[in-house]
Amino acid sequence: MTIAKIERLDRLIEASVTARDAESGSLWRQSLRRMRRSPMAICGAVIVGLFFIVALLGPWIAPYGPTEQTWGGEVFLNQNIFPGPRAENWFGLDHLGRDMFSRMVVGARQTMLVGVVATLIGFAAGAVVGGFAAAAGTFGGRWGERLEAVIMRAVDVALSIPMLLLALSVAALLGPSLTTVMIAVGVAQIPIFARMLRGSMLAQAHSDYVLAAISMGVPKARIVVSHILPNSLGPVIVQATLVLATAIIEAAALSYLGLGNPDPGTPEWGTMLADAQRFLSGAPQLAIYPAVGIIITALGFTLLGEAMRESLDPRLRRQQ
Amino acid sequence: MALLEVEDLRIAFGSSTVVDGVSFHVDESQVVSLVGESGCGKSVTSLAIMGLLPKLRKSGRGGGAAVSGRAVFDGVDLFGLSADQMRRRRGADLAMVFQDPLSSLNPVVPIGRQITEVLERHRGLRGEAARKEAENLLDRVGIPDPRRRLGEYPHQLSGGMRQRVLIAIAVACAPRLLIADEPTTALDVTIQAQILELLKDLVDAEGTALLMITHDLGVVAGMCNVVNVLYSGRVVESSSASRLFAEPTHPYTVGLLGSIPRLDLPIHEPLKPIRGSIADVIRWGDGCAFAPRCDLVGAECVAGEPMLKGEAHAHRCVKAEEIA
Repeated sequence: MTIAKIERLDRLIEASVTARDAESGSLWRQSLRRMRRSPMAICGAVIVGLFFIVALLGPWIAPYGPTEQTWGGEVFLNQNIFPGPRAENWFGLDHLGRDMFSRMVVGARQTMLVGVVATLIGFAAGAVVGGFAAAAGTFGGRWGERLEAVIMRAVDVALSIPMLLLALSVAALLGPSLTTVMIAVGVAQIPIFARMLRGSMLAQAHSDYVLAAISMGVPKARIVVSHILPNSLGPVIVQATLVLATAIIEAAALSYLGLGNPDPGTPEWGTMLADAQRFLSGAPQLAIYPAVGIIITALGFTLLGEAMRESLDPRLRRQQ
Repeated sequence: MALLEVEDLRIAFGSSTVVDGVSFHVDESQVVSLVGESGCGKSVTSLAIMGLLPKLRKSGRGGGAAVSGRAVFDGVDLFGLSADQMRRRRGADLAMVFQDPLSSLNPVVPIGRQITEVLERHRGLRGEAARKEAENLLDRVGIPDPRRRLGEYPHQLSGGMRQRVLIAIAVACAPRLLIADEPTTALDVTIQAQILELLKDLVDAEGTALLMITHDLGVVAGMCNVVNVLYSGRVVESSSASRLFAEPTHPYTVGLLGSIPRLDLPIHEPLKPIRGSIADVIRWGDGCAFAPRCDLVGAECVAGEPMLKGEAHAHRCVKAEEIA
């Protein structure tokens, strides 16, 4: 072989090695790289990102205070006359003469807080309940199976209660406040997360790599924590993003029923929606802004979650 | 004394008996194989020895396996051990290599951690020491650039490499008995040869005994000392590999050998398959279960249970003389 040929071979080998290195890296780094290429993930991330920016910086973005009123002979409650969108008030004024745009921007924070905290509560508690049940059922022997049956039947009962009713009962117990809404909505999500994680873990428990791990004498607790759990979290993460959307809607419902934050000084999309109901026939725009806000936010979380699941799924990884 | 002595092993799922009184033994640093077609009970036998079959519940529901008989490993009956004692032995004294290397590795855990997990559990190695040892193991099973490979995930490796990783995990704690359940079935032919070579080298170097489960007589000829041919849950022929290939005495073994393509036969000579497929038509108690597929079948074949005859070269056929 001539020197030139050998050099070319060397270059080829080098190129293929660097190409392979680009493919390696940790699981999360890899999935991040894949997500950057997916339009779904980009859309979701942009929506969620904007939502978080608005939620965090709301009071500084808003042109007016959320409780500032402009009467000025423009708002006529009894005649359903409210100024629509215009240069000074982008989204118009509401029934009390407050700037809708400012209220939307400031209200995003409450909405985010309720959604995120409620989902975290549901996720954490649900994961503990479902994970424990699955672990007991798979590795706990006869008593473990019984324990699992008891836990899961209790979860079934909780699941059969309409979610809003469950949240409502919790909220009624604790009295109206923002914390109440978070806890109530979070508690209502626990059964969903518990069921999902358990189902997903049971499916993994019968896989070959678990049998292989058992055959190497790996302790049960370790198999559950480091083999079954990481493989089961994918669908639960997607569920979490969907639940975030539901949580926002439920929080709105609770606010509407008077169990939300009683302070009228802090706007919240759900409360705004409820307020607008009275004027739906004459001034539907008052309801449309918060409703569209909720829908777009929910869509953003769903898109992001779906893209996340796809990029994390090792079975889909090679197809790109 | 034999390292592993399986005596009268019986395994039943519900009313169907899949292993019906299998006995064999594996000596120190010996390669023993269980050969037979799908459904003859060879994989179930290996799972039973490792204690990996689902347990039978008292209620009888749930599809557990009823296992009886003895599997004496180094003087201790494995079936008599508690779940915890058994767990301590798995991986340390006995280890297993599975058939499908992709599904036997956890897809979301880097292979390095899957190796160190076993080292931590049985050898008490931690941190950098475990890492170093994992690197050595990968090097030993012939994986180039082991340090970088430790951080990779199963999907980044080729099929042959995955099987090498599984073998590295299995030999991590220098087990005295290695059970390989069709370790080359999921691989292509050139890789098969490499993996068999690797297994053979490891077994020779460490003096590990190897129990090889396979349906491939080529694999058997290449590396096994002793062969046990299984049919419908029983051993039908058992002998040293060289004698089995030279003078098979059971019609089933003859059939298996006849259905392998050979280089020294004329090109267009058709292969001789065994008629039919494995089925529970005849219970062993009534006669030979192979009788419905056998070319030499006669009245005496179904007149009572055929016994395993012979010491060094045992067979379970009443017409053995006719074949020889």
